[in-house]
Amino acid sequence: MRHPRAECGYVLADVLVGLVLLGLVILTVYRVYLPTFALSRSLNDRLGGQQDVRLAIDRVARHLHETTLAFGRFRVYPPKSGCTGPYDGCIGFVTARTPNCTGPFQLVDSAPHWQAVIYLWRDTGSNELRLRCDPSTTFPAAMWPATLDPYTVIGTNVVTASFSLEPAGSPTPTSIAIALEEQASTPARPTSQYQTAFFNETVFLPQNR
Amino acid sequence: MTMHPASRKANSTDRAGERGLAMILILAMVSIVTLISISLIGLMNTDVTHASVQYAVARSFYIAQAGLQEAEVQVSKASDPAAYRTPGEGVTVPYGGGQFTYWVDAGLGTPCGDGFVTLEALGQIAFLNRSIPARVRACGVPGTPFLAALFGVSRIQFEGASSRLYLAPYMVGTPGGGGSVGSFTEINFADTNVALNALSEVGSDTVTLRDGTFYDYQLFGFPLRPSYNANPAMDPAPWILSVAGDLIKAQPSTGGIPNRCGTQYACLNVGNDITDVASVPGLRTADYVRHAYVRAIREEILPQLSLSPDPYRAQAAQNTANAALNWIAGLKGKPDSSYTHLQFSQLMTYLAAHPEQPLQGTIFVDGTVEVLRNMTLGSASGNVTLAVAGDLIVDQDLSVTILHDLSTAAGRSTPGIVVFGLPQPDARSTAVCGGRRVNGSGRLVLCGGSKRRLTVDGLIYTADGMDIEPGAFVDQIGAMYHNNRGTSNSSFTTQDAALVLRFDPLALSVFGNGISILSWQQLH
Repeated sequence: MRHPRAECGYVLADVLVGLVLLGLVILTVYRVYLPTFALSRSLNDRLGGQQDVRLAIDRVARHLHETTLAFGRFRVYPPKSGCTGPYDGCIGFVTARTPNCTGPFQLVDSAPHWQAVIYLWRDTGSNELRLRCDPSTTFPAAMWPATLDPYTVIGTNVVTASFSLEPAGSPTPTSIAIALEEQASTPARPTSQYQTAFFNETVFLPQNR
Repeated sequence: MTMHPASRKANSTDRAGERGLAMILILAMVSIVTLISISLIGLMNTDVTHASVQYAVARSFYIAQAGLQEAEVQVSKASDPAAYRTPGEGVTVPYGGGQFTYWVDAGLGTPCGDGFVTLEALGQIAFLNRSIPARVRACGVPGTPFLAALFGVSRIQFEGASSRLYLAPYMVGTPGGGGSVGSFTEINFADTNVALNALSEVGSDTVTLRDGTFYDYQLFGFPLRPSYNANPAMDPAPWILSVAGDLIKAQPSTGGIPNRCGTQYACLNVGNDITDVASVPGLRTADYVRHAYVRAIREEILPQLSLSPDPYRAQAAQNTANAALNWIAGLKGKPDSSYTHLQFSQLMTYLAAHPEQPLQGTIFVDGTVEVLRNMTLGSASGNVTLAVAGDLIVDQDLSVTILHDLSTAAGRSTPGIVVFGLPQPDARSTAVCGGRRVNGSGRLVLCGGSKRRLTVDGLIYTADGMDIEPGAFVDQIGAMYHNNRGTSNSSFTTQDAALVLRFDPLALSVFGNGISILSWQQLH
């Protein structure tokens, strides 16, 4: 005759041993997957960063394609022109879109009818990439403006920004190169080797004279 | 140690009861692993999708750009670029893994305005069962291979300290859009005090034109006198430069033309120096041409252009709109508008006394024309083209007026004066005003004098160049193209004279060659 009660403890021990073994197995699996998780997070951060930078550039791509590199209509501001302190990577250029630099493209006798100036810069305090539409003029100021309110944030976590006209030093540049560096907001594990800063450099060819 | 048979049996029964536990464990593990894997794959898949969408958007943009380029090529290749149209549904071409569709003025309305051509292109990329589009638009001038207000095949020369030149935009609406000066050979500032686009540098300067007296800065769209530092040494590149056009050092697409500087492209020089000036600050500062304001200096390979007298002769032969005027002027029985120089002289005599009776359409004159009286050919609603197969000499202190109806594209693109020269220029030349010599090679000479005034709409074309003598004043809306017949003549010379040329790109469309893009925009 069998005694089920006598087997109860045995089954409990079995379950406990099984749970411990299961825990060990899960732990092992977790350890095996740990680099994969780090890789996943890094990939996610990197793609997210790249996506953010791409979106930021997308937000100004049309303006940059539609502007002109004619002398006096496009300015890159070095530190000595006032792009210093809270400002980094400063440019100003004209747009033919109105109102608020986003409306229809205006023409005068088939040529662009410039309506406003767009200032673009990185705020060093917040690491934001900011855009200001100034409809009061169609020439970027010779010196970087002291006040740039209101503005629109078009990118975040941007740790460096630089703009350069190409060919470098040419009196008649043909393109504008934009280089942005974004820092991932959730850095990967310190033990991992994966990068947390992401670069994007894009060259635009303004299409109007 | 051996197990009791009864105990072995019980043990065997227990294991039989535990069957499946390992399977549960394995299933649990497999489930966990699968869940983690699926999560990872899903995460990465989302990121890859985002990146792919961006890639597709970029590709569709560049495919649209390719479509626009293709539309430009097709317009340029057309025998009549101004008449070229695509079907209403556009032309669709597979390209770069996607496709573009382009339209040329078909079903687009006239967003670019009358006389201009609208090019539009749609680039499309298929991605994730949907199409990602990009659409771009450009406005152009059909039949105009390049944009230059004043162009000379041979030398362009600015002489005299009191020479004033304004190459302003046609439409006074916004600062910018000034006309460019170009040459295949040489652009020479013979005097360092020549004023080119110098807008009220010291005081407020005015110009009196056919439509009123204006401050010179108003021509460039400034409502108020712009404030800028005119001293090139202090500020070699003031922002005022940006409202002006360029200096184009050109080279014909068939190869360079020799010049004094020995450069492949046209040479830009000052005085008798044969050193090619490379930059605007160099011109304004190092070479002391401090009153010259241009946006940039650029080198460009351009097609060499020319007009043939035959179409104008044929148009004049068919132009009977002046038959009644011919009759009144004493040319009885002459229905057409193709004249000998004696007939035209007779007609001018009558017109000088009756300026209210304008000529119409294309007027063709065989032989050199010397204008001896004030002459008005066409009022503000006119459409006259004066074509001369010889030289055109406008004597001292006289005025010539040829106006067009500029409210229409046809009026804007109708040439004003075309001087073709004789089929065979005379071997001996004749001296005219200012010591200039002509031999029927196709020159336009404006003799000097304080009352001298040439008011023209449309293109001024010469086969062998143009001279503007001291004191003359030219008020033109259009463009100038001056050819060269293998002579040593300059293509354009102005000496202590004033030229106000409001550049209209449509004036160049008479060449019927290529297309020039004026604006570009991204629709979406």
